[in-house]
Parts: sequence; structure tokens; C-alpha cells
Amino acid sequence: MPVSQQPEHQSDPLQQLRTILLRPEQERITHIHNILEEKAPLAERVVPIIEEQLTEFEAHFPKTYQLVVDRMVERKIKESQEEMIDMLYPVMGTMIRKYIAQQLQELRASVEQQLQRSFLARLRDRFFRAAGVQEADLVLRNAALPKVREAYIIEQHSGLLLGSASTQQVVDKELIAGMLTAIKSFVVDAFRRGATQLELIEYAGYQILIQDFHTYYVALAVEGKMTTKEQEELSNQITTFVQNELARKIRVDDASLHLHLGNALKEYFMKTTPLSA
Amino acid sequence: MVSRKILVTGSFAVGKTSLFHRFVYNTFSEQYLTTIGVKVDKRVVDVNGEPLSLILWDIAGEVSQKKVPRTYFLGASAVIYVFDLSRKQTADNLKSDLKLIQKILPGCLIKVVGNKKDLISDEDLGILERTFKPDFLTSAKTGENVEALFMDIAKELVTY
Repeated sequence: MPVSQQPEHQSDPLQQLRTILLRPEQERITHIHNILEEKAPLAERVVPIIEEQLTEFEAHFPKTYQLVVDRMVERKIKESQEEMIDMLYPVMGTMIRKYIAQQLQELRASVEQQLQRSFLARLRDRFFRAAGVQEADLVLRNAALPKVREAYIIEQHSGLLLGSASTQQVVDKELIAGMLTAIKSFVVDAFRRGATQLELIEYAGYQILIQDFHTYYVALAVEGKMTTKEQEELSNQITTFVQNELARKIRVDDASLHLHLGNALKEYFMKTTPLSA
Repeated sequence: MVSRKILVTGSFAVGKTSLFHRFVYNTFSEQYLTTIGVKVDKRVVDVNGEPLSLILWDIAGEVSQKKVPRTYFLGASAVIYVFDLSRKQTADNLKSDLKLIQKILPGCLIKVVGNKKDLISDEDLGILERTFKPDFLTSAKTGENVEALFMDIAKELVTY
């Protein structure tokens, strides 16, 4: 065969030399290529490295990424501020109320103790005997226990109704929600007692108990006169209700939520509470 | 049902309550009664086949922001600012009042309404319209444009 017709690599001495010299490298490249192409040998080599990196990552995560995580949490809190406050509000309210109730209990116990020691105790006993307080009166008192007749959840400021329940025929509930909100706003603006809100309205044998939360408030119309203890119990019941039923963002336009809240209000305040009918 | 709070405000005796009554009850009274505090009422309107509950807050007397509790404004989706076309001075504070409303309720829909249209001539009406550029000219007495005003707001609120 003439030289000009031979394959280039055979005819080129330099190419032949290169092939001979680079053979080990070529074999190595082929081997590496096989490892990369086949999942099992690749995993055998890579997995220990990843595991090692992961262990190292886990060990150093708090230190290295603390700032990033802090910023993310901070941003998330800012974005969900309203929801978080709504979730925390009842919990904080319960803690504060429990503390105050405990303090009052202690004060009451102390006063009672002092009364028992004094002649007032004897005077008190005489007074009740003279007044003829009978067991029957106590029974009657129990029969006339206050009853929750209407319950509302109302958006703060706008006064738009979020949910309601009632045991009787009432005028338009949306109007009641609006006017209640207007009265609340008026009282706060007129008397300027800082962050203090309107908590109770009394009218014609009714007491309207109002409990504020961050973006909404709960109002219960109670027929009959509540004692401080009953009021406290109802207040706790409201907090339980809020914790269980309202621990998510409320939207005024959510019709299914309105229905759900209406049923839940009935369940909590008109069927199961000690004050219910 | 979707509900929206709408506030009716403006200077003393411009006809806020009359507009309110014309829209809610379709009535008008010549007798003037000062509103004490605030009156809340509602009317359900139909917008594109869907009911929309308009909760209307008629705020008493002077718009002077020192006298009207700011909390009344909060949560409102729309504000109707009324002035009396027959008493030009009731629009004297228009600019500053609108500025304050925008500050309290950023992004809120505001409609400026010149009321008592029935009491002035067409010539005066033209001058006032050019001066104050109201969104609507109404007469609570005859009912002119009252329904249109509230329906316009209702439609805008649905897409707002």
C-alpha cells in the first residue's frame, strides 16, 4: 500500500507514539467513565463522601447558618404577625387572667379569715338568720342561672360579623355587630383609658360580655345576672373556644367559616357550658 | 355573603343621614335631626348576580377629625365624603379631610359627593362641579343619583 493510502494513525509515527505513551491514561479515563455511568460503583464512592459532608454540615449547621435561619424566622414572623398575635393572644390572656384570679382568691381567703376571726362573722350569721334565707331560695337562685342567648364573633374596627349563634329571634345580626363595634370605639375614644376595652354592657336583664382578641372580639349576650365567678368561667370558656376554633387566619368573606363558627358557638356556649340553657 | 363597611362622612348638616335613609329605606324627611354618635345600617345589593351586604356607618355631624373618633374609620372599605352644594363652605376642608382619610385608610375607595342638587341652579352647579370635581351629584330629597352612587361603590368593591 502506498504511504499516502495508509490510515493516518498508522502512518503518523507521532500519533503511534502518543497512543503507546498515553495508554495507561486512556485506560484510566475509561475506568472513570464506567464508574460515572454505572449507578452502583458511583454510589459506592460518592455516598461515603456525602455522608461525611452531611455529618459535618449537621455538626456545623447551627454555627454557620444561625444568622440565615434567624433572618428567615424574623421575616416569617413579620409576615405572619397578625396570625401569630391571634394565636398568642388567648394564651397570654389566660395566663394573665389566671394570675389575677389567683391573686383575688388569695385576697378573698385573707379577708374571709379576718372576718371569721372578728365579731362580724357572728353579726353576719345573725343577719342571714333574720333575713330568713332558706335552702329553697338557693334552689331558686340555681334555677335562674344566667343563660347565653346570643354569641357573636366580630372583626375589630370594621365591625363585620365573622360568626354568630342565637337561641332566639333577634334583629339583623350584622347590625348588632356594627353597632356593638361603634359603641366599643366610642367608649375607647371618649374615656381614653389607654389599651383598656369595653368588657361588659348591662341592659334590661341582659349582660353583654365582650372579650377582645387581636383582630376580632367575642360578644356573648347573657340573660340574667352573672356572678364574678360565672363571668370568670364564661371568660375561660371563650378563651378555650378561641384556642380550639380560631387558631387560624379568619377572612370576612369565608362563608364556610361563618357556618362553622356559628355551629361551634352553639356547641360551646348554648349546649355545654354551665351557663347555657 | 360578602360584607363591606362603608362610611358616610362630611360636614355638619350636609345630608349624610338623608342619603343614608334614601338608599336604605327609600325615604326622605324634611325634618332635620342631628345624628348622635354613629348610626349603623345595612342594605344587601346584587352585584353581577351575587349578593353584597353593605354595612353603612353614618357618622355624626362635623367631619372635623378632632371630633369624630378615628376608630370609626378603621376597617372601612369605602368612604363617602358628602358636602352640601347649597353651602359651599361645607367643602372648605375637602382637601385636608380627604388627605386625612387617605392617611387613616390607605388604599380605601373614596367618593366625593355633592348633595342637595335640587337646591341650586344649573349655572351654580357647573361652577361647583368644576371647582370641587365631585364623583357624584345627588339629591337625597328627589333620590337623584343616590342609588347610582351606592351601586357604583358596590361594583367597585367587588373588584377592589
